[in-house]
Amino acid sequence: MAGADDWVLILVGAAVGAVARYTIGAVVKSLWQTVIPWGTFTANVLAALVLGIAFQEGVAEGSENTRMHFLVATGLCGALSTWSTFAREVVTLQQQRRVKVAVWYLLLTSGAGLGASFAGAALAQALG
Amino acid sequence: MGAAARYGISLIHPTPVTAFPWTTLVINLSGCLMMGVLTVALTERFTRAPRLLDPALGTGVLGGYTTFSTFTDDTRLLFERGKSGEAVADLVLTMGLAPAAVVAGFVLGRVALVRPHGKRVDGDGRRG
Repeated sequence: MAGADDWVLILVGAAVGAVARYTIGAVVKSLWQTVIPWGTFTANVLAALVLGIAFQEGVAEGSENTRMHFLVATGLCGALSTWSTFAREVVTLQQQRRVKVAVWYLLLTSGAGLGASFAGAALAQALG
Repeated sequence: MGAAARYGISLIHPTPVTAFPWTTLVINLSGCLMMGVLTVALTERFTRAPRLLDPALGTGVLGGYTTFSTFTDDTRLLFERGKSGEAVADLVLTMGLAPAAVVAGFVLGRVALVRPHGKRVDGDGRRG
C-alpha cells in the first residue's frame, strides 16, 4: 500500500513521462514526416524496455513497493507509454483507408514492445 | 492524474501475479473508449474549446491512465511463467479490442454529444 509520499512519486513520474512522450512525439514528427506515428512508437517501446529492466530488478529485490518502483514503473513508464493515443492512431489510419499500414503499426508496436520488455529483463539479469 | 487513477484501480482490484491481467486490460480499454469520446467532443462538439485541451486531456490524463509498458510486462511475465496461451490471449484481446474501444467511443460520443441529422450545438451552447 502506498503512503502519501508514494502517491507524490507516482504523480511526479507520470508528469515527466507524459511530457516526455509529448516531446518525443513532437521531435520525431518534425524530423521525420511519415504516415506511421513513430513518436508514439518510440515512447511505447522505450517505456517497455525501461519497465522490463525496472520490474526485473523489483522482483530481484523481492519488493514491488519500493519508491523506485512507484516513481519509475507506475509513474514514469506508465505515463510515457500509452494505449489510448496508440489505438486512436490505429483507427485514424484505418479511417484514411490505410488499413495495411494500421495493421502493421499495431503489430510492429506490440511486437517491438514485447521484444523490448524481454530485452530489458535480460539486460537487468545480465547486469546483476 | 491519470496515472494516479490507474494506480488507484490496481489497489482496489489487484491482479495476483499469476493470474490473467484483467485489471490492465480493463484500464486500457476504458481509456481507449474515453479517448474516442474525447476526440468526438473536441472535433465535432466543442470545436471552440482551447486547442491545449487535446494534449492536456488526451496525452496527459488518458495517456497517463492507459499504459502500454504494463501490458508488455504482463504479457512477458505470462510467457516466462509458461502460460503462453494466456499471454497470446492478452496480446490478441488488447490489440483487437483497443481500436474497437476507440471506435465505440466515437459512436458513444456522437450519440451523446452531437445532435442527429447534422444539427450540432456549438461550443458556447447556441444551436447551429
